[in-house]
Formats: sequence, C-alpha cells, structure tokens
Amino acid sequence: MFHSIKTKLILTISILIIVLLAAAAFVLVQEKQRELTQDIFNQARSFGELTAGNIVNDYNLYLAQKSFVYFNRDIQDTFARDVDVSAIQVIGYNGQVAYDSNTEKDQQYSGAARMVQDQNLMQEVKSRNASVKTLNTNRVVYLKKNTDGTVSYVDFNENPVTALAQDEKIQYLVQPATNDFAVVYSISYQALQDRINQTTFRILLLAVFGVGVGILMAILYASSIIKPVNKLKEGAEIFATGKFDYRVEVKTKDELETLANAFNKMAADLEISTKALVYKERVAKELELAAKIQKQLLPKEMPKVKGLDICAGLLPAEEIGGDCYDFIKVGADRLVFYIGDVTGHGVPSGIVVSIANALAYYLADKADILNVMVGMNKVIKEKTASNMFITMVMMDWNSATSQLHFVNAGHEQMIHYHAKDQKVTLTPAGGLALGMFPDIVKLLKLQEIVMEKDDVLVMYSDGIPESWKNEKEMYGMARFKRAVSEYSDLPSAIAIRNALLADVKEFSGKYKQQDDITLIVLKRT
Amino acid sequence: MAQQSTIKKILSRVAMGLYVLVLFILGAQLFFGDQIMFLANSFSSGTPVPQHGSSQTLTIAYAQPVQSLDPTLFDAVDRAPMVNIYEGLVRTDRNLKIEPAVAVSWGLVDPKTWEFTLRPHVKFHNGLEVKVDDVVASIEYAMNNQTSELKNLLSSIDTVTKVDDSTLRITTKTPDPLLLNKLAVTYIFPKDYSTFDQPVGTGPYQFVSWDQNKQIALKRFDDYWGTKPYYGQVVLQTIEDRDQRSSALQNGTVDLLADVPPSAALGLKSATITLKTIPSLEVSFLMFNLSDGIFKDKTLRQAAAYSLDRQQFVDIAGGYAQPIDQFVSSGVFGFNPDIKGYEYDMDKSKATIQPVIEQTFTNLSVNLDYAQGSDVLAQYIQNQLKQIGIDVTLNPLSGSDLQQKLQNGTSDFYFLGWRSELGDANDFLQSVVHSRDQSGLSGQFNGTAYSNPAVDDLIDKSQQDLNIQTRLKSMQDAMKILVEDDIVGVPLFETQTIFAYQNKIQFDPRVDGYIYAAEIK
Repeated sequence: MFHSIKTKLILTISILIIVLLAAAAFVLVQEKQRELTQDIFNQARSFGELTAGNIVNDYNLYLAQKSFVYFNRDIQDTFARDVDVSAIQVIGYNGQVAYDSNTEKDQQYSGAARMVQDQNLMQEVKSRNASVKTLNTNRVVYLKKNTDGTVSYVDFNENPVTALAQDEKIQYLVQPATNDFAVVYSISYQALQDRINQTTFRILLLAVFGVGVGILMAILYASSIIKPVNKLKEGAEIFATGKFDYRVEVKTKDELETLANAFNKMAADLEISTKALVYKERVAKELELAAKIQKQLLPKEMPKVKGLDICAGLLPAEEIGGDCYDFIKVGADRLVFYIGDVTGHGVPSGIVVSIANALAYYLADKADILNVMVGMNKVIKEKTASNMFITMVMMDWNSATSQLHFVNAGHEQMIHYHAKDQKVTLTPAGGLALGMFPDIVKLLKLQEIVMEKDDVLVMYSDGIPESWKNEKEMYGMARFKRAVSEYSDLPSAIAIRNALLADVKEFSGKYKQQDDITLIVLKRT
Repeated sequence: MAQQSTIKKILSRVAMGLYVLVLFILGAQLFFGDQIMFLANSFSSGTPVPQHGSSQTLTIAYAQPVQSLDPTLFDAVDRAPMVNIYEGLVRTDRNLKIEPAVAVSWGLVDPKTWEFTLRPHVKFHNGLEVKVDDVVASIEYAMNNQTSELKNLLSSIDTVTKVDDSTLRITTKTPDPLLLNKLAVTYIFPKDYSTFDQPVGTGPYQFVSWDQNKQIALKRFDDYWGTKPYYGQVVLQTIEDRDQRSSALQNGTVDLLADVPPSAALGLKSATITLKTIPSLEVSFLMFNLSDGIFKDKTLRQAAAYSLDRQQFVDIAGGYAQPIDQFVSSGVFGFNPDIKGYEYDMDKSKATIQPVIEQTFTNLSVNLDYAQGSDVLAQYIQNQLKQIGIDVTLNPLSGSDLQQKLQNGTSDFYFLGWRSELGDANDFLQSVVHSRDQSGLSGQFNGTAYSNPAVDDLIDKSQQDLNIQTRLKSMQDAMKILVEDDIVGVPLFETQTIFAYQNKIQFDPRVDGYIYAAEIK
C-alpha cells in the first residue's frame, strides 16, 4: 500500500500542500492579527473621542435624573456602533462610578456610592489626555493629541514614554469627557478572535480542498505513469516466455516511451542473439563431433617397425585441423607414412584431410608412393575446390632393405640429424602441392634418404616454424633446427618429440596457437 | 470474473465522480462562498441569519385571558398576542430604540408635520399589500373609534393624509416629541377591516386560532418583510391558576412563563429553568377623589399617606418590588429624583388626622375600589387606615368594571397600577392626572376629578417640547406638585417583572415587558 507510486505521490503532494498552507496561514494570521489589533486600537480611540461627550450628556440628562430606560436605549445604541467595546463606565473626577454597563443592564445601580479603588485608573480619569492600559504588560500610556492630529505617547505629566507596539492589545481606554466625568471603554478582542478563527477555518478548508485536489491529481498522474509501467511489466513477462516478437505499445512522448522503445529493441536484439547462440551451440556440437571423427582418422598407436623408432603428435589450432599424418603397413616389410597440411584449417581443411586420409589409406598398397600421390592429386583436384590443396611428404620404409624413400609434394623440408657428426641438414625441397594441377607426375620425384644409426628425421607442419611468440616474432627454422640438433641425442623418438614440442610451447608462451602443429619424429635404431 | 472487474471499474468510476463533485462543491464554497447560498450560512459568521424551516412550537403562558384582539386596545393583557401579529409604522427594539417597520423612512417636514414613506411590498396576512390608505384608516380608527384606548395617546395628532401611493403625512396640533413612540403602538390593519376576531396584521406571526380563555395559536408568516422568526408555531396559553402555571413550566409543556407569581419565583429556578427579572416600569398607587368623599380634605390625604408602610407591600410582593415615592418608577423619563415622599410614621399620621376627627366627630368611611386579586394589599390598606380612624369598605371589581367606574368618575378611593411602557412619564400624566377635557382625549383614567391648571400646563408643555431638558423639567415639576403639594394619591411600590423559561430557548426580556416571539430563538 505504501509502496505504490500513487500513495507516495498523494503523500508527497498532501504534505507539500499542508506545509505550504500552514506557513501561509501562519504569516497571514499573524499579519491579520496585527492589522486588526491596530484597527481596534485606532477605532476605539476615535470612538472614545467621538462618543465620550455624548455618553456624559446622556448620563446627565437621563441617568442623573434616574431615567434609566432612555439612558440605556442610547447607551445600547452606542455599544452597537463598536463591536469591540465590551463595557462602558462613566467615572466622576471625584472617583465615583456613575455608571457601569457591566452591572447596570436592566436597571440603575442603587446603593452606596461606588468608588474607584485602582489609583492608576483614578489618575487616568483625572488626566486631560486619553489613556490606555495595555493587556499584557499592564502599562498605562497617555495619548496626547497634538495640534496636527497626531498622537504622542506620554505619561501623566506629559513626558514622552515608549510608544505602544503596533499590535499591542489594550484592556481599556479612558477618555476624558467633561470637567467632571471621564468615560472608560473596555476593549474586547473577541471579534478579532472570531475573525482569526474564521480565517483559520477558511485556511483549513483550503487545505482540505488542496489535499483533495492533490489526491485527485496524484491519482490521475500516477495512473498515467502506472499504465505504461504495467504495460512494460506485461511485456517483460511475455518476453520471458520467449515471445520476442511481442511489442510494448506506449505513446506517452516522454522517458517512458523511450524506455518502451528500448525495451522493444532489446527484445529484437535478444531474438537475434538467441538464434545465434542456438546456431553456435549446434555448430559447436557438430564441430566437436567432427573433431572426434578427425581424431579417429589419426593412428591410435605408433607403429613398431624394425630399424625405426617413430613418434608422432598433432596439436590442432581449432577443433578441426588441416594437418594430418598416418602410418599404413603395406605387406610384411613396408611402412608407408605421410604428413600433410591442407591450406588453411577448420572445417573445409578437415574435409580435405578426410579425403586425403582415405585416399592414402586406399591407394597405399596399390602402387609405389609416387603414384599413390599422383592418384591422390588427381582425386583431390577433381573433388575439392580449386583453392584447396594439400602439401604432403609421403615416406616408404622397407624394414627388410632398411631403405627409406620419400616423395615431397610442396611440403616443408624435413630436418635430418646426422648422429655421426651431429649435424643437421634439410632434405631437398620440391614437388607441388596436391590438388593444384590435374597431373603432377612429372613434378614429383621419388627420393631416398640414408639414415645412419641414431640419425633422426623430423617431419613437421608449418605450424612449428610459424609459431608466434607475439605479433612480431615467430619460432623460425633456425630455432627449430637448433632444437632438433640439441634434442636428437635423446634416447627415444617420443622423448625427442616431447622436447621439441616443449621448446615450441616455451617459446610461444601464452600466445594463441595460430596453426595446427604436427610433428613426426623418426629415430634410426 | 470479467463481469466482476467491470463492476469494480464502474464502481471506482462512480466513486471518482463523487469525489470530484465533493471537491467541486468544496472549492465553489471556498472561492465563491459569498455568492452562493448553500452552506454559506453555516460558514460565514457575519450577519446571523436565522434558520428557516424550524417547525418547532414555542409555548408561552400568561396569567390572564385575552378579552379581545382589537388592535386599538392598549392594556398589557390584550396586547400580549397582538405584538406578534401587528406592527405600526415604526417599532421599538428591546431597549425602546425606534426602528423602521411598515414605514421605511420618515422625517419632519416642519415641527408639526411628519412624513412617512412606506416600505414597498409589505404584505398583510391576507396576502394584500399594505397601501397608504390602510395606514391612514388604521391611524384614524385608533384616533376616533369609541372603543379605542389609544385615543388619549394619539390626541396630539391633527390630520393623517395620503400624499401619494407610498407617502403619508401626519400633522400634530403641537410639536410632538413622542409621536414615533406612539406610532410604534398604533397598529396597521387593512382599511375595510372591522372584526378583529380574525386579526390581520403585518407582523412576523399570523393568527391561526383562538380558543377563548385557553389559548391563541399563531404560525410564522412566510411573506413577512423582515427576518423570519425561528419558531414555526407559537401558542399563547392562559393558565390562571398560579400553581398550574408553575408546574406547566416545570413539566415542560410551557417554554416561557410571562407572569411568574413572585411567591413561586424562587421555587421555579432549577437546572433547566432560568429566571430573569427586569423593572416592570409599573407602579401601584392609591388615588383619592379630590372633589367628592372624605379625601376632599388634604389633611386626610396626608394622614393616609403617612399611615402606609411601603415595605409591607414589598414583602407581600415576595421581595420582587420596591417602595416608591412618585407615580412613575425610577428608570422612566420624567422621574424626579428630588421628590421626598411621605415616610411611614403612624404617630405623625395620627397627629395629622386628630384635628379633623375632633372637629367633625363623624365616622370617617370610604369605599376602596380595586381589581380582583389584590385582596391582600387591600386588606392591609384597610387595616392601616382603621388605625387612624378611617373605615374602609373593600370593593373588588373586575378589570373592566373598575375601568368603567374610573371613566365615569364615580370612585372616591381606588387602587391602580400603571405601566409606563414607553419609558416616559408623559402617558401617565396625560391619562391619569391631566384634567378631563370635553373630547375625552386627556384624563381618560382620571377618575378623581383632579384638575390643576398649573399641572395641566406643565403636562401640555411636556407634550410639545422638542427640547429634552426643558421637557424633563416640566414633567419633574408636575410630578413634584402631584406628590408633595396636591397629594393626589399615595405611590406605593413598583414591581419587577419576572420571567421564567426553559434553558433551551434564548430569551432576553424587553424593557416594555412584552414578549415578542420573533425575538426568541
């Protein structure tokens, strides 16, 4: 209840109005009180001046002759002319109270002479100046009328005294009338109080009205805010169910409309990104599957052949790699194996890798490795995109003859470590990558490598020399060759492979692997 | 569900509409409150506007039954209902200040010619508008009709003439300072109207019914020109038995008791009943016949004056009275503070009468005429006078019989009360002690054949003198002669009028003692 916009608005506006009006009321009432008090004083003063003579005349004419009825008729008439005068007394210079309206309402006083007891009042009666007694401070001030009509505040002896404050209330006014009588007018501030009360009541009414209007405005204004907010809320709930094509309709031409538009745009964006996410997930799943398949293309274990200690490894840069290698046993003595690198990497390369892998496996025992590669080239050229090709080194180890032949089709030169003089040489480059031309029989050449005992031959993809440490520096052949010469005396191919990979990894550090890294290490035993 | 929420929606719309309406009314009241009528009365505390439409009944009880509703009667009993029904050209407020009534303005054209302008569209209770002709006829009726008791009062008027449809002029034989007071009691009624059993006036209440000797019912006159009275109905009851009167107030069947018996007054005061007393302006006195009977002799008048202890009368009145020494009560204009009356002194009284008794050797006897109901007072007077050798035979009479006897001048010694309801001694002097003239316009109640040219002269002078001070002097001088020199009678006491009423009503007694129901809330 207290947490709705409506209530908060109502509360705020009400408090604001009440505070404002209370402040205004205070100021107004104060001002009015001051004004009225002064009015009453001035009025009483001129009333006294004007009527004192008549009252004493009436007294002499009627009351002194015991004609109370006529006297009262006239005095009541006098009373009616100034509502602020609550009582009238006629007091003789000798101090005798001749008439007192408080006690002589229906008939004249009869009895012992009433004498004024208050000496201050007596002095006032004797003065030729009018005088007043203040209400709060009980101060008696005489009002000396100057010839120009202004009034000076003096004491009994006409010495100046502190003037009355503007809003000073008085108990009574004594107005000398004749040489023998003065008239005392008691002043009542009841009428003033009535008017103040009336004003206060009106202001109260105004406050009630203001609060009422405030509540009305708050209700109207709040509903103008709440309606679009509720629409937004509904929209959010609909979006939550996945209906991103829903649109929130708010036409308030203010921040709320902007918010609604942003809301709608968010929904549209969410729709797109969600679709993308779903797609990506599917692709990732498929890629995962593809990677799994590709992994299965690689040999499960290293071949054990006489005369060679072999170890291979492949670190793909993405799920699907463009590098490949395989070991295929042909007959009892031959081991045909190769390392290939399809241009690029990722899914397209992976597909080409699969084709190449299958082709090699199928053709390996059908011909010598040169013709195997010619056949592979033919199929790849025919069945893959014109810009897809594969560099490859295929080798043929005959354990019976201990001869090692190879055909290089545009692949990186192998690094040969000669154990006897601990030198490192590169096998000759040459050949053309498979898939570029339909017939490359003339461009390929079957060559032989002679490996002495403990010689090491390293076949690799360009992922190793082109391994980046940062944007500027890459691993490079020199480092690779040095590493090969350094680690080739390690006892096993696997140890050499691990050391080489560790060296590369150490070099590139945390920098992202850009290309697949494939490595085959042969060690002559 | 859908239906429910529709109902809810409609309800909230209706509530909203009501809310806006209330706000609108409040706002209208707040900002235009002075222009629109509704609610205005309850909020603004300016001029008090009486609540209209109160259907409450105000019941007032009097001691004596009304004899007639003839507007030219001038006794307090018959006037009691009439003050509510009738109005004059002017009227008096509770302090006897003259206020406009049927006439809206007036003035003196010359010292003897008054001009009055009628208030437009004043209606009689019969629905007709008041015309100048009605006013002229009413005043002339009061001046001339045989039964009119206002004849003396209006004897100063010479002519009443219509000037135009809204103006009339009244010329007086001599300048008359009291003319307005006199016109205030001279009621206006339709010109061709002569049976007053169904009175038709212009006052705030109109006549409904009159159950002879029991009650008169009045209701608010809705076409009244002035402020409409608070009470819708007024019942003026007559309860002659004083105990019944008191108990009727106590058990709540009566709201206001006009004639509270002094003996019962203190007993009536309670938590729900308020007592108020005002000087009645009514004096009671004995009058001697100066031309016939034993009191021709001034010495006997003197002796009688000394023989009466006025304090005894005060005691009889239960304390609600004061001894007096002249024929008007203090408070009335014309009262002479210098008069020293005859103090009670039985020895002096006996000494005064002794020579007369010795001289005549005859039995002194006299009849005392008085109104029924004053037996205790009469018996006291009888007793006192017996002590100085005067045999008094008591002769109680009905009010009308006594009046008749006085007018015939056949009473030797009588007891009379006189109320100076105008607050002026003039009417007493004019009616009771001025010598009778042929037309019967002066000395109407002068049953003693008193005639003193000097006094007549002073009275005449006081009637036409516009100077208040010399007028007062004339009346005071006349009073001094009456009391001290001629001893026309023995002033006894003035009474106070006592009112008792339920606290729930707002009542302020008038100086003239009448009860105007329209002044009660």
